[in-house]
Amino acid sequence: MIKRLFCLAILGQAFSVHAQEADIVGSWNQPAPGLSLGGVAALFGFIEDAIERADGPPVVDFLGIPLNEEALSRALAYDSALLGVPEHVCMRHPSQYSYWGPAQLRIAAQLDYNLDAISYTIGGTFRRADRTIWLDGRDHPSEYAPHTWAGFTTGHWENGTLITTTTHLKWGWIRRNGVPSSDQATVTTYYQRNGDVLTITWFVDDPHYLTDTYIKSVDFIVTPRGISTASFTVEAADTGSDVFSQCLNRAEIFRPELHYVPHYLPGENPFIGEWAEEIGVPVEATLGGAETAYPEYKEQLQE
Amino acid sequence: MTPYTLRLFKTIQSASLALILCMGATSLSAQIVPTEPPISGELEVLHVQGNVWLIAGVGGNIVVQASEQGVFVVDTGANGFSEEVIAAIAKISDRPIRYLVNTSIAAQHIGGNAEMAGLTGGSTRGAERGVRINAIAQENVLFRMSVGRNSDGERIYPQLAWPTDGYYEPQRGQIFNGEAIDIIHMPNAYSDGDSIVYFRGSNVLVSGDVFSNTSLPMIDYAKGGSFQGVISALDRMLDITISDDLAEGGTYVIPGHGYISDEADLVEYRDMTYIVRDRLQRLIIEEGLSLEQVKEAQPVLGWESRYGRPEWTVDMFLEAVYNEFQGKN
Repeated sequence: MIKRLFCLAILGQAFSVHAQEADIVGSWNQPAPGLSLGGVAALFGFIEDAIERADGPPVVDFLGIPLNEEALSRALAYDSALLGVPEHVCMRHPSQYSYWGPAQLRIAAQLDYNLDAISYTIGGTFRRADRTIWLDGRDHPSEYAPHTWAGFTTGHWENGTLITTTTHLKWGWIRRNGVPSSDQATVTTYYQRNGDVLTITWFVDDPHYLTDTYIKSVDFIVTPRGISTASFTVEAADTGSDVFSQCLNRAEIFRPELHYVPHYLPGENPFIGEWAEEIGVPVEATLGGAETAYPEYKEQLQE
Repeated sequence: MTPYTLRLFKTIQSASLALILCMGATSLSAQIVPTEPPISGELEVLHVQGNVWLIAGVGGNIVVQASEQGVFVVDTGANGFSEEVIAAIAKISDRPIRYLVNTSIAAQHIGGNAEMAGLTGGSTRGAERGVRINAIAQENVLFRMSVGRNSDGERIYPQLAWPTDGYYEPQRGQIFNGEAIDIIHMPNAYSDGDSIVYFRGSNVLVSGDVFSNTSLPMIDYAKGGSFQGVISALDRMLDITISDDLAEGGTYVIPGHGYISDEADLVEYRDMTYIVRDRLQRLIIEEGLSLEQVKEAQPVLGWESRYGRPEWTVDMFLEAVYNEFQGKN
């Protein structure tokens, strides 16, 4: 129900502003302090998203995420040291998450002889899980086809909004603190351009980890002078490299054995309650669940 | 050792093993045997990369490497689909099938052996040249297929379906179609006769049932499988795979069942086995819980929905592995 209302709201808004296809081609950046673009950046708060676009969110902060007990079990087993083992160190941000994390988008269109777009390519999310959006009506691949960090995406324009569906995703995460997303997740994404602002809203449906649709939206602002693909360092160890997508799959932590999977056993995650204490909410609020996504939950807590 | 004495030695070795198995038959019969996933029956052919194709939908995944010298097949799918499979291979290449490797004795991987063995083909080298397909498997697959009988004492597997070349070395290598191919024994994983096959030039690794992204690890304890063997096999495969830039592509891994994977997919699955193993060690070895208590503790929570399936449930998996953690397997 909430998903349907959200969709109607998005489409209604789009219809009132742009009745036709809007051009999303170009360079887009995340609004941020210090980014001067005619004052546009100042229009945006940079509060909620700041941590996602920088070092990442607090551990054991799942507030507002409609995760089920399986997802919670995996999220609490998550040890961020996992990112320091060679098998994980170079993983890209998957499409379930990537627009929320650090990203500078360069969107290009591939045109047919009538100048209609056959597809869009969106590059510039963390470690380049470049997304191709096919507009030519093709089917999604076989169930036996490989899954990728970007997934396979098809789309169409509707009342000035580009609506896309992404499948064939890799196992990934919907928040960068261990909240998992399965390889069976589907992402529905809405792209709306309003002047110099591109709003991207995406809905993650995951039959294995979510009890409800997970919804996020972010804004990007047009970057007339383009983006620099070397504008942030991928890994500290890569400092000096000007290649946006380079990563060396090295060990960044001590490993007691060649193959090592850092994780916490049930009940042993030392960070449960840390964030709750910092922001002054009960621990259960930080453990998430669909009810924590609604405004009434605040009242529930106060009671 | 002359060829004759070698054969004699192997006959005695096989007879001894048969005796051991017969002696253990009572206890083995109580062990849970994993059932492979349902068969869609809708055959699909996908080009993987290089000279390698996947034939899916007719049981376990079938892999085909084809070029000038002919066709090299890994596994033959489930029984009853041979005609479609052979027709699909013929569309990939009009050359004869020269080699077949069975990754294990699992039913959905050997079901078309007999029909494929009846085709004109044969090895491209040695005395077997041109006679028939050279069917390779780890020797325990050959042994089990040759001695397997049903309750009426009839052979389970027709002789034509047996591998013709049961290797016993840790690893077998050969060049075919200009490509180095490794056939590597994975000890005591799904069973005691598992092989993985690595096509070096095409950079495709075929895992057989030691890795399937459709279910929890399938382990046939009655045939020498073990959970630790599965984990070791997954690690070994990760030593072979090399990801392309940024953890995608590179070496592709064809699982026993499920979609074409790469190293990142294999890592995700391997990580799951580590976490589940560590949870089970704590529950069974450190806390000494009973099987029922272990089930209640839900050590597979996090993957139950994704990997549990009616033919190989979470409970079946736990019942199968419980004894191993007690040191009884």
